[in-house]
Amino acid sequence: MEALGRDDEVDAGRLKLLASDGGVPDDDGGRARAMVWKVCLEYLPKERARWEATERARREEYGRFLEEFCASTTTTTTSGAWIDARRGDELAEQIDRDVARVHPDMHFFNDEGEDGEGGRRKDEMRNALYVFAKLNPGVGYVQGMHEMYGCIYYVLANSADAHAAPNAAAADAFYCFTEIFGEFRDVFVMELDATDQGVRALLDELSDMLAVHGPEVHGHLEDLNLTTSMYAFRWITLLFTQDFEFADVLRLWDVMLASPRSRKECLLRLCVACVLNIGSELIDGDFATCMKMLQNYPPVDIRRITRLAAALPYGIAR
Amino acid sequence: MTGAQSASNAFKVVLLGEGRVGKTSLLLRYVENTFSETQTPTVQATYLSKRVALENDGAATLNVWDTAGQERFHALGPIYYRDADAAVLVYDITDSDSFDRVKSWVKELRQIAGSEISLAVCANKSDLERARKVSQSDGETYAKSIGAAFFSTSAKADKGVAQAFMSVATALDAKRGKSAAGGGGAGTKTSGVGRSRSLKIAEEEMKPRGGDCC
Repeated sequence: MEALGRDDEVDAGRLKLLASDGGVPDDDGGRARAMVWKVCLEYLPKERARWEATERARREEYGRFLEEFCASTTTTTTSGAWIDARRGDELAEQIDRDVARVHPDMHFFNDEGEDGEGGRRKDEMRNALYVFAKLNPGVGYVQGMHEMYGCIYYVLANSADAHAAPNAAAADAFYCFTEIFGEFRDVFVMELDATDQGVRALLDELSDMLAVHGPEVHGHLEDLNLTTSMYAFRWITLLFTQDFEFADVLRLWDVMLASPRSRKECLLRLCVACVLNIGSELIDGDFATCMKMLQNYPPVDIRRITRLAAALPYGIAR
Repeated sequence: MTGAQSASNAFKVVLLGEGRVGKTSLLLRYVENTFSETQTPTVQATYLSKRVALENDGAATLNVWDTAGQERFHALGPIYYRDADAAVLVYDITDSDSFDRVKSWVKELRQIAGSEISLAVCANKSDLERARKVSQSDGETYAKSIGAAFFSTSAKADKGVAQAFMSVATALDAKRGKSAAGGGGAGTKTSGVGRSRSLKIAEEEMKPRGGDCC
């Protein structure tokens, strides 16, 4: 990660190139990844000297949103207190239910013991999603947002100065979430389903891409009447968060966030790679076998997927 | 093409109901005998199949689509219930809105899947009796009014779950057997049981519509 180096200005292009090739190190407690994501999502400007001021301003602004929509900038640690203060608020209840169930197997979100941070972290997630829904009434809250926000929040809470200010990680994650969500917003809007911007159009595009890059496996799945909507809907709406090991999800996100082209296109190319990677098994399978394999993706070295995706040629006419 | 599937007495079943009423939990209790308080919300219909030994010594395969509860994800719903043999409608006894949602599902099903589809209603979370909002008799009366079987279930306490799915499988098997006996043309050699022939017909009919997407 030399691109992050010591220069006054981060070489964003070089950074993206490294990150999209699986080059973000895992062995520094996730600090590099937090920084890479912030830069790739343009939350932080290229000029290093402006980072501190940028973060300070954003965190203050987020603090004001919390005051406006969540009544308090501090969060309580009592389990259930967040929702108890909002009974009858349907939006809050829905967010509460989903956040309560986020990655039940991960210590980060479920560290509920004495001095446990799990409760506080979940409250920060609830607040962020609530603020987002209030600021974006056209979208509100849709299931899946909690997974996306959770993923970003996890990464940013690991960054070096996460404890610098209350709500710092939550605020950083809020703006990064807003940025990435903006790109996939149409997928979440039901009114757009039938249009060429909505999720169905994206699933059709994936099908077309599969026909180009893997005609044999595509043909087999078509024969089985097994459509992309049956397995890739979750890949697309949750950006892989429920389908791979968390460490692998982060790798896939590195690639997507750093993509020099559109992130949507990058996502679809990763989806194609996921299918091609198990193509030989799929071709021998019946409907039930293929369905199970695609919905419960077999263990994989995630770099196989990212390399397969990177190797797909661009610009083939359909 | 899908040998194993064609050979079996297979039925397509779809689970419907509002978010968080316990559809996935019911299915996981039934198929894997597990339960988790923190079941992840389902955003994409999930496919599970289970071979069931019937009381009449026969067997059936239930191919179950566990659908997403949140309204947002219903765009793709019809492909899961269009060719379904049965729909299991689930509500949470502590949430009367979820009971209303079952009623609107039934209307939608009637329009798209027709009246042939078998229905069952599961009044789930029966372990939360103290917080009950929908009375058992309301549930039963409604189920009767739409010609559906009614089950009081708790995925958590493992009450009534196996019975519900078993009953759905038995009813579907009987229905298929009956339609074979009634429809019987001459000239086909079958192994004595009318059902196997009816199954063939049913599958041939299904091809153009749903193919192997059982």
